[in-house]
Amino acid sequence: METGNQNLQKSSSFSFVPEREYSEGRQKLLSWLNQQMKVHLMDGRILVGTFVCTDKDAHIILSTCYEYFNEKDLETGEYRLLGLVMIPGRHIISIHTDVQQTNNQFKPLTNFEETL
Amino acid sequence: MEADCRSTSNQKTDTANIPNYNWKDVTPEFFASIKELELGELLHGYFFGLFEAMSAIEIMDPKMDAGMMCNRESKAIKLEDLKLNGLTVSEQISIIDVTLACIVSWLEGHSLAQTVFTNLYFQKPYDIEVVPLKAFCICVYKIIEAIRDFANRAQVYEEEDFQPALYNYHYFNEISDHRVIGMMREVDESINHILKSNPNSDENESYIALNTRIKFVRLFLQILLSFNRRENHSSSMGETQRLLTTCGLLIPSLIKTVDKGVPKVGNWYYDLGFDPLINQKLLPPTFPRYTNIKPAAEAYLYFDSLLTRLKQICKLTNCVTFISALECFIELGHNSHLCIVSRSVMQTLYFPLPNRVFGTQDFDDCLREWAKSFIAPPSLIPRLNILSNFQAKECVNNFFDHCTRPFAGLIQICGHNKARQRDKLAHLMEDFSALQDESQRVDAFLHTFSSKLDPPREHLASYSTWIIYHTIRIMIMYLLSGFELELYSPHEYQYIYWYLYQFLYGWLVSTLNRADNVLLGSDSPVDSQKNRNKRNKPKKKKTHPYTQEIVMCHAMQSLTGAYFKTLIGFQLEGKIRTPKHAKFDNERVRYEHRFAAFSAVAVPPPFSYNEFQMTRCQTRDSASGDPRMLYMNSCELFHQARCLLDSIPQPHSQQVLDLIKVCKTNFVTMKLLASGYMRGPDVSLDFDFTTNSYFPILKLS
Repeated sequence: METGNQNLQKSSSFSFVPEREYSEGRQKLLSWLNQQMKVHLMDGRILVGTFVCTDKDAHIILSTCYEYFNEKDLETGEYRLLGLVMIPGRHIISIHTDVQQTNNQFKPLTNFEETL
Repeated sequence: MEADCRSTSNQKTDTANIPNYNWKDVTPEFFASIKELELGELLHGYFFGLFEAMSAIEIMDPKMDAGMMCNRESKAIKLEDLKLNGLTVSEQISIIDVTLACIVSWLEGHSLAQTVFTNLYFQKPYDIEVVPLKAFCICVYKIIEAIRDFANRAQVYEEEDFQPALYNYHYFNEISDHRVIGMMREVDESINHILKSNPNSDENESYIALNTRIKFVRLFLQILLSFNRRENHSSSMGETQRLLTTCGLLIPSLIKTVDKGVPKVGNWYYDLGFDPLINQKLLPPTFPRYTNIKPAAEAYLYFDSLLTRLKQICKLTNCVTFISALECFIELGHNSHLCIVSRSVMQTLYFPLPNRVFGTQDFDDCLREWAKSFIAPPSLIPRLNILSNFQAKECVNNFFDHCTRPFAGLIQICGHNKARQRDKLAHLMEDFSALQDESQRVDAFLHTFSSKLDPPREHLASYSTWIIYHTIRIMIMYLLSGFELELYSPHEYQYIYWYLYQFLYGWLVSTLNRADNVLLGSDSPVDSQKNRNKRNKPKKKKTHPYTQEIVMCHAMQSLTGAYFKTLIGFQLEGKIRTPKHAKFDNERVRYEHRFAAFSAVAVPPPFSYNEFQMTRCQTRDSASGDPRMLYMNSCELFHQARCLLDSIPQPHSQQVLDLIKVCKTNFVTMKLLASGYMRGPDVSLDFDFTTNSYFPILKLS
């Protein structure tokens, strides 16, 4: 319980930190946040969803994620809605972002949080 | 699995709406960028945190990822290889057996996509050239439709009970139910014809087995349909019962002939045309549920018990008054294996249309009659003519109007599964609390009319007593359901039984007494007529209408009191451990949590933890801290409860018999304890709820 409270305080203090100098990599990751992302998996499946979170080991969390069993399904639009998913980095073959949207959208508010 | 093998429904209509993506490969950039993150650091947006992250499904985790289970190399035969003609009789028997087992699994809460629709024959039943199987498939569609219809109308299921989704599988609306039954009959006859034309064939036994199955499925559909056809109700219930009996008689021979199907070797399941993975894409976005289809014999036993339950439900149509119907619902509810079909059928039988009891009587009128027979409010006695006043009439009409929803809710709650019932009872208390308020105002208003009558009548505490009676019963149901759901730990039993003993049953007795007195004091219209006829005869002694219920309540009061005293004794001896966490898990917190729902109710008022502590101290002190005194006390109370239960007129219901058994056994145990046997630190204590789910038998070992 107590540790949870501490984390909460920590995160709230972090979110109000004025803009920090972010390294290039971080900035790139931040720019992809809330963008559509397409992830190819080792088993041939393709997942398309909104990129919301990642970490050092390339665990990727996609929200409102759709699952396609193969490339053909991607064309025909035969999907299964999965919702919020977490993809462990070791199963990822490739990652694509949607360029159109990246160009059009404004940068959303972001913050870093150090958990654990 | 080939694409054409999938249901045509899979083709989403919104294919055209796929946004045009302009994908750009960022794999190397991405993997380079994440290297800059710290170990354990999450990079995320403002509105997304670790908490949200916890609810994500983990891909490639076999327990969470349903898509992963779909290895595209299914063992099932391809659709074009599926035998559409020339199926042997034993193959047909097996297909029917497995499909019926699938229906049972569906009724136990699995999705249709993983059960019945794993049967490839269900993709296109019209293409099947074997008539019995074709008719069977269409009949099963109709059965599914009928059951879904019951469930959707009754609305007593939750996601954990039942998955109604049809996944756009074909409905066969173009074939009427009559036609399907006719088809099944034709199949029946043609098989009989085969049997007659070739009386000594080896295959005859198999043909008979197939025929029994066809008959069974047809009767089952007819049973379901007959519950809907109740325009001329008394007669058609007999029809339902006849069908139920006939159908039930088939089950032993069905179980006996399960081995007439194909031998269960190798890929028999797939070879018959079942593919558990065919609908993998239709599954909801939750973790995969593994659907183990029951063995056929077990499935038939399930059908057997389902038929028994439906037979019991037929009795409901005899319950004309609201209270008898409610008691019937509660009694059937004690059967903890009530399935979704029986629960839904019960609801739709009582309320085929919203607020129409058995489709014929207005629920409003039903409640009026119940209120009238409960406490005979002067405003409902036609002779007194109070309702001729426009305002009074309006007032009473409004009141009953407001009563219908909570009372109908009470009936509906009885249909839900036990865990949800408890939840919903807590909310219902709020509704009844609002009704209490209104009933008091209505009583006060109507009293101005009834007091002007000659002779003046008391209207106060008429409707309000009626409402309070139900409120208390709901509160008792709520507390007792916690035992059934095994929510309470042994150290909590004390205050639960205390609350029942000290307040709820006591209040229930006094409400019943009041109603009893009113009914006896004011001659009800029937009585007054009788009296007019027998004016000169000496007054016959009137029977107390609530005697039996009051005795029952007294018995429950003694019983709960006995548990309360026993448990204090056990606590004094240190046999029950209480939580000692300073902040989060102490007795007060638990107490307040358990009775939180009661704070919504005005009468009876909620009783605080301090009051409980006081009573407990007094009880301890009066026994001067000696557990043996307490055991002695509870021993007497158990005995008292038993005597009261014995005094209820025979024949005793199963519930009363069980309670007597509980009282007897506990009486002996308490007597032993009071005389000093079986005590000491090495004697362990056990609560055995198998006889009665609310009142345990105490076991020492």
